[in-house]
Amino acid sequence: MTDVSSGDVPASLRVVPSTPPNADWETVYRAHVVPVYRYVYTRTGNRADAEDVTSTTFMRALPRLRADVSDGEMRAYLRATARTVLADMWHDRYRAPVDQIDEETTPNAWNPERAEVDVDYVLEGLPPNYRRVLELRFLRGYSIKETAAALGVTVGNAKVLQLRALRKAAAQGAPR
Amino acid sequence: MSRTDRRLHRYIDALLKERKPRPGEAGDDLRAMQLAARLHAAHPGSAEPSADFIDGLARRMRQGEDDSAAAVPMPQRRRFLAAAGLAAAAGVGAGFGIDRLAEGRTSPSGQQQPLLPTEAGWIPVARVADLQLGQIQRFSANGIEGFVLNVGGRISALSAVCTDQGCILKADTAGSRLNCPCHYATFNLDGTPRTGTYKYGLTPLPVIQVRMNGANVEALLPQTT
Repeated sequence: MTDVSSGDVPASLRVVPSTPPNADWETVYRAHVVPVYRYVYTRTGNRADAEDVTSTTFMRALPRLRADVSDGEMRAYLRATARTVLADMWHDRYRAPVDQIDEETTPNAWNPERAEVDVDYVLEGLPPNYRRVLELRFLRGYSIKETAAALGVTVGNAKVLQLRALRKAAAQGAPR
Repeated sequence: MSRTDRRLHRYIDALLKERKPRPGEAGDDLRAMQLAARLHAAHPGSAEPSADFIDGLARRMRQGEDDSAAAVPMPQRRRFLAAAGLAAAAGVGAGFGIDRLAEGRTSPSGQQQPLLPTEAGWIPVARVADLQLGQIQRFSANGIEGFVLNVGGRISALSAVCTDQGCILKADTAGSRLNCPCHYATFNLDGTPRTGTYKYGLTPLPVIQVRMNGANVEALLPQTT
């Protein structure tokens, strides 16, 4: 018959711990951690690395986190620090030549909407099946099996198609 | 697949599982790897740090801990999969509702459809008193999985089955949206898919008709015999 389940509990407001008197840095940290993390995530693409790189960035920046520095200056400083940490990671882990590690050329990099703009730019010039496989895999998070089923191809074909699409998109040029 | 193919595939797989990819020379695939990270970052919500992480890092900074060795354990998106599978199975059993949804899935840019059962009755699905302003309640009645919502004083109901793969959505009251635990779909409280990456052809959630009857909110649902 009728079963009314109790539904989801509304997410409670996050409790911000009261800061010690000398802890100006924490206010600065909390004001900047989300944009830094977002930026780092677009350059690492996974939570584990995004958390590590964000942590390292703030640990390094800790002595410089002061409330009397302007927001813009702090943002620029944190961005530069994050970029250094990212470049180290790409260099150490994937032996990427330093001059090929993505440079930030536009201030828009800090715009949270930016990732989406990039996607449109990237997908625009691709053949429909390439576009589709990238949408399913990256934007919808389908597994290879689910992707294969959605495209009506074998798992092996889906794997190959995904790699070709990604390489083709990459060859079109870096998103700006 | 060649060795470089397998390596790039493993890299993509790690990203989608929110894990650190294994080390290895990027070679000619450097741009493709960077692009994969950007693409994966582009779905709504993925690039948001968790409250646990933010608080945990503040704590470590306070303790002056060095480096990120004591990383905060992170919730894995994959742990939702077992539950999501069940939800999908439950959705398949939801009779006529699923026909509608399946139809919706095959026409990607489909319009929002009301659920119109052929043999229907008004079934109580929530108590008016329990449905405060802004509240969202899940119900499960006569084979239909749904939400009853109080949006700005207006009571409405929606199917709770994601129009992508049939998983049961989770209400995010604070964010005023319905999230799919399986992939990255999110819906507004009127059932329309949220803009973002899912604008690529996701069908809106079917609307379920409701009425107030005394202390109860009743929904027009198929009769079960």
